Amino acid sequence: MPEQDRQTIAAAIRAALDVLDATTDEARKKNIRDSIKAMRTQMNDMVVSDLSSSAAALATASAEMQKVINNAQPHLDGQILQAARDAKAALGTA
Amino acid sequence: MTARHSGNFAFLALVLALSTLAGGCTNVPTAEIKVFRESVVAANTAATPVLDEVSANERKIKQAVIDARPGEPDFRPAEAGYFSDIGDAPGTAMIRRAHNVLDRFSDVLLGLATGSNVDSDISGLEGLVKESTGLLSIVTDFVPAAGTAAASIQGAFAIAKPGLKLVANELSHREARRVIQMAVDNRIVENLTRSLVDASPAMFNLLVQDAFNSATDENSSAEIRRVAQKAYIDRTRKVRLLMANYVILVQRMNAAWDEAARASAEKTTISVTVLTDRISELRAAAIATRKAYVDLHMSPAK
Repeated sequence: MPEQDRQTIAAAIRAALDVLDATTDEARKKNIRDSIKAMRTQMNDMVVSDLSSSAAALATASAEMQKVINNAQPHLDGQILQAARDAKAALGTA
Repeated sequence: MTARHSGNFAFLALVLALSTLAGGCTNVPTAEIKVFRESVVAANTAATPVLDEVSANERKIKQAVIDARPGEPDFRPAEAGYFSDIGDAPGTAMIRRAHNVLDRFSDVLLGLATGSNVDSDISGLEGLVKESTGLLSIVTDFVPAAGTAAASIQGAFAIAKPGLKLVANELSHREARRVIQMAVDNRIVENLTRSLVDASPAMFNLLVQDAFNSATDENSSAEIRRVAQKAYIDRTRKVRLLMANYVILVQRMNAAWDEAARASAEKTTISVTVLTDRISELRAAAIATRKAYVDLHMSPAK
């Protein structure tokens, strides 16, 4: 979500609240409240969606790093030990 | 030795040959990698409570969106993560996973650079040798000095051990350099830390949204909204400080990585004093971020 959109909705909600405070007609007040509620839901949805979008970019970057870890992990686990295990297994079956 | 045995130990022979040809130890910037590892730990320590907060807010705000949906209430499996109290909310889960992957990456790299795996490898190998005299003869083939101490398995292995340890260390260092090069070529640390920084405005907005909603509640009186507005302003200031500290820690993590990569390429290293100073700075920055988090939950000043 562009930050500008969030700011625009926030400003619209605040402007609508000013009108609400100045209004005495109950029917009009209800319309304004409904309108604010709709704008708030839109803003809430934008904020959550924005985090999801950012997180999706992170998921791609995390997957790339995980590939490198997976590639390095067998080395950390010990090539020599693994080779000895293989050799011992082969001795046992030869 | 049968062809089968030769095949199984061809790897060891290759390792020994490589070590001999190299004519010395492979240079690994262990100090810089320690700073990088410390910077990752500091950023992750600071991130943990922040992400707990983001997760709770992500759920709360998304639930409000779902509650406002027209029609009869329903249940959508795709939205389960926003209601379940198992783990994090979906977006936060991916951010935390990025921190966890960074943690694992720095841990694996430091393990390779310091050869933390070597001692356990050699112990494991010793255990295997004790179980099989045939294996001992193969091992001693590659460490000739051990052949003269064939009186006992333990004696022979004790002589072979330093040579094996050298080989294992050398292998570990070579792998560390290979991992660094792979990470530099693919810009994996740079991409991940940049994505974390890019996500920070979304985290900020989510962390203050609930306070904004209270400050603009159409069902509250103007007076109540004024009080809520003060709380909203106070929260935005605190969250801004919290996120600023978090971003600085993530950026330091990237800077520490750059330094490790540069040191690996240029075969240089920092002094122990500089290493100690850098680690102290990182720990202080992590503490500052934790303090900012605690302040977030304290009452605003009167």
